[in-house]
Amino acid sequence: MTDATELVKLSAAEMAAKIRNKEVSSRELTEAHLDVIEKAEPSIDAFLKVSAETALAEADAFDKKNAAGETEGLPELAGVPIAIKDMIVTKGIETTAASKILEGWVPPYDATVISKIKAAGMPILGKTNLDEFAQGSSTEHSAYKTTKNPWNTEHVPGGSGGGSASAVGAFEAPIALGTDTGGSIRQPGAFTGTVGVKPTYGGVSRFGAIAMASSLDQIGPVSRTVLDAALLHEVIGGHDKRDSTSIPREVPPVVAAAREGLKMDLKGVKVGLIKELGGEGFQPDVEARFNESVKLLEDMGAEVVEISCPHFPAALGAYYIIMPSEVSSNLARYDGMRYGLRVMPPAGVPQTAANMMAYTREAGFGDEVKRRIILGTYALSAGYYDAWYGSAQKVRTLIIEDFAKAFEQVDVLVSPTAPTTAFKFGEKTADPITMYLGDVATIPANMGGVPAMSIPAGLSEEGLPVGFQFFAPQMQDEKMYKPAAALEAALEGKWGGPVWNSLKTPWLDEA
Amino acid sequence: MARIALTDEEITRLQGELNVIADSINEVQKVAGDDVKPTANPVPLEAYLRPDVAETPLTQAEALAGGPKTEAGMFVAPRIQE
Amino acid sequence: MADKLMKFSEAVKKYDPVIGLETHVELSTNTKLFCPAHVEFGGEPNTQLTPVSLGLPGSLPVINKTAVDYAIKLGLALHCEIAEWSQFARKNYFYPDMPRDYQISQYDKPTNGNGYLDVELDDGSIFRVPIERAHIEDDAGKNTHIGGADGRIEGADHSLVDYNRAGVPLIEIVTKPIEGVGDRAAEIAGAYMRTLRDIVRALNISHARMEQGNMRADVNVSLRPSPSDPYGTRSETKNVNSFRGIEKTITYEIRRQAARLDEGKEILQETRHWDESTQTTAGGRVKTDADDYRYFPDPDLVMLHITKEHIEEMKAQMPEMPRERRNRLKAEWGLTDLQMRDIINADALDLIEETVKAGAKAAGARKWWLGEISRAANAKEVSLEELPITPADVAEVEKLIAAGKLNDKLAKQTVAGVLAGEGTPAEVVKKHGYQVVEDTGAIEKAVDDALAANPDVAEKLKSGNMKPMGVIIGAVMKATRGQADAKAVTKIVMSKVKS
Repeated sequence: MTDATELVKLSAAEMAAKIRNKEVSSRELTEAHLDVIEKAEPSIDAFLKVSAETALAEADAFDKKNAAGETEGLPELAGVPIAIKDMIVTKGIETTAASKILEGWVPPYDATVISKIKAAGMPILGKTNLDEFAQGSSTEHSAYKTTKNPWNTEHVPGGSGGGSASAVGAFEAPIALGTDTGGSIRQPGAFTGTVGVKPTYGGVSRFGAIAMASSLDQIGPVSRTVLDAALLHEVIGGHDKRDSTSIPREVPPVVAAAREGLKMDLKGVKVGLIKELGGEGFQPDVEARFNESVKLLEDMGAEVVEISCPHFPAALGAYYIIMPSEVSSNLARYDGMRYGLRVMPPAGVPQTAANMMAYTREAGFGDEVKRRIILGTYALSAGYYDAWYGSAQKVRTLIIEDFAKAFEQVDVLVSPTAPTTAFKFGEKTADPITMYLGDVATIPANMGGVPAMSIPAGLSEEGLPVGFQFFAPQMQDEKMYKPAAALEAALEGKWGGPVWNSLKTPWLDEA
Repeated sequence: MARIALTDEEITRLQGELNVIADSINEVQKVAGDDVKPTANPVPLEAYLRPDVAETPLTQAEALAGGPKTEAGMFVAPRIQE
Repeated sequence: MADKLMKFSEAVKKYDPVIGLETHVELSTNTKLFCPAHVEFGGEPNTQLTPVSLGLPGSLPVINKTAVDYAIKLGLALHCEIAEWSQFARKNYFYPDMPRDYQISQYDKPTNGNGYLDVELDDGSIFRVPIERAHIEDDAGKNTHIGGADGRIEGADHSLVDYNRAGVPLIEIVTKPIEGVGDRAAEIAGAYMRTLRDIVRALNISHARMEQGNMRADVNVSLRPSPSDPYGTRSETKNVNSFRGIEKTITYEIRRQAARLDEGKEILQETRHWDESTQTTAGGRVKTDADDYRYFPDPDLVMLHITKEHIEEMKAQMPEMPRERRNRLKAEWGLTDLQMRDIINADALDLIEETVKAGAKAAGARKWWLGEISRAANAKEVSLEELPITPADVAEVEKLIAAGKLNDKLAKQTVAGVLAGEGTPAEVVKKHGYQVVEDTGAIEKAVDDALAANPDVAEKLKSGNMKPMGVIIGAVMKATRGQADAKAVTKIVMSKVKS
């Protein structure tokens, strides 16, 4: 193993410490990751666009500041490179949402989270792959490429944020940003053995996150450790006046909570097992890893009780009304007028604006996106609104109430992140409904606006990662970081190191 | 209404899929009683009101840069009427 | 095909018209409703945009406080119930000038509901127009149609879209069905629109210039056999942008619908357009499922909370309302009801008030605006405000008269010069050399000449018969090219004939 290989296997917090101690420069770190990207991409395909030149320029700019001692007030992760899901708008770097309809679009502005990342001197390595417009659970619905799971390249990395998860899992980036509408950060986290956090709705600005379903979307961190996620959470979180749904409060003290958790003392912490998220439909080895982790939480002093959230079974149906409804409206703007693709109707069809829009959208959107737009258009139409959208909004109320009641009794709720481990390519694309069912455990957090995170809980019998999910009350994200960091430490103790010690990385070995 | 020129094959497939989804939606209607209030936004907030102060706009070049077809500083739409 | 029309008097005898007005008022905020792009009429295309008003992916709306303030003020002026919690909703439809292909408006929870507006009719009576709601929404961009005749959408080859106007705040004021209008339907609609315009201007929330599209109305008309019957099917004539157009639309629609009903034909629920050139309304897009706008609460915007304190703050800023103001000015200026109504009908109140503020006497200001200037406006078929003369100009002319530097005739010529675009009164006076002749020697000579040329008149004047004085004055004026002051001439004549 070379020095560079050792470097990329560090946690982001460790890289940051080396930068502060001037043991390594941001440029060296960035170059090391660009090197891994070059070697890994042929087998992983996590990136849609690698922005090597600007990343190095950003790294140099940071190093110059660092040398001049002008880094005071910068976040701890200053100088550490990062990968960005291509659902987030980056000024000057092509942003496509993995859709043909946005091919070649270079945004004239930065998302708020990108401004914060740039202000922190964190070089942007590139834009990662996703299911088109974040719609999917396997990254197979990207219009450009299929990202592979680093644990087994015949398996999907999950989705929609498969690119960010695989990039971090394969050591192409230490950390990344994802977006989570129904589990798009957490489920890929579970599938790739990485950490994925969906903050409280409104905890991180959505300004510049391409909208899928506005009332559910949330940007969050992707990392290999709980502490790294917390550090990134603090960089991107906080109130933003450009997002009306942004909560006017400080970022919760997630880093302190993660550090507290590393002490592995959970006395006084009450943990609730969600009765409705388990059993039928859940893979036995997923449940086994889950139960082992619960045992570890108990061993550290946590009190574990079973909690019923009676309306969770209706969450999936409600989600599949609200999400496509908002999708149908949010994706209306891709009409061939102002940016992206334009396709004129074929000869013989009137060359009108209306027809241009219809042919542009037919050619520019993939199947899954069209499916959701059509479904959402129906759900909002006059005859259906009350029965569909109206009812779904009521289920949202019930889910919020379920969470509120549960959190009167416990500090955090837990469940497996996904009912299964990563499936094989093509296994579920023919049947969208079973694909949708895979989101059953992640959707309630989006419906309820609560924070949730997935951390690796070990491997299945097939050697694929299993995810363990924590939920915390709205605006109290720190409450999940403490037990998550504790569990991570306990599991590493049990395994003798992090889960990725078991990961074969031929692309690194070649180095 | 969705302004997508679907092919016949796509329409047939979509109809089948929509029917399946409709089943799981029945479950939603079962629990959504009259006494339950709908929630549009998961976190209860009231609107922040922005001061009426101008910020630097996009330049015309920036605004038009992504346009598939532009002319005289404007975006070109194919004819609007049939 | 030309519509068959019934005589108006017959139509309103046979049917009871019910009208409704949906008026869009463009607010004069500094920036747009949902983004900090500065708004200005007539800027270079696509230069007043942020990612939000261009509908770029990832952009999000944030409400402009001033727009909310303005909405509250209008709500107060219209005696509306102001909702403590109101909500923005998306109105979904595809159109090239819509940057997001949905409009952000208000649907079932508007900011202002349930009010009324009292309007004064020609006979001095008051008619109460019931208001359903006054909600906040954003405007679309502007299409310029290329390749067709007269820039029309019909027959155009393509359109050019400027999104500068996209996102400009609007308030849409929707009346309830206005019943009991009878043969005064058009008058009531006109009075309502003018009153609304005056209120909006008094509140200083909009430029409210119909010709610039700051204010435009959709006019609904339906007929029913008698007031006890249910409403008939209505037609909706879109975007009428002049008071006269609105009045004419109503009259036309009553006549058209009455003729159809008489023939046993049904009225289509359709949108129509007022065609100024033919003075008719043209149909019609019949409502279809494309009109299902799939409204739902905009998930990018949370509930708008208007506190009692906020409303009180706005109340404290409310200016005098137009009707109170009229009564006050009528008293201050010593006018009769009839004189005041003439001023209102000529849309000259603001102009006269400003002229008075600029130093002129009310009587003089009124005389100019309702006289020469109104005639010029009528001849050109434009509003008084569109003419190249300002209240300051009129006040300046009045000052010149008071100072004896212009006589009536020269003053009229000066005003004509200003109206012709020759500049300010001072510039016009200078350019033409207008000047009251003060050289009494010249006038005396002219008077002597005139008396000599008209001995019979001179005799009469000497004998105390003043009637033919005009002959002398006329002759003197001619000799001095109108620059003598008539009073001064009279004085000189008197002194001559008496000596």
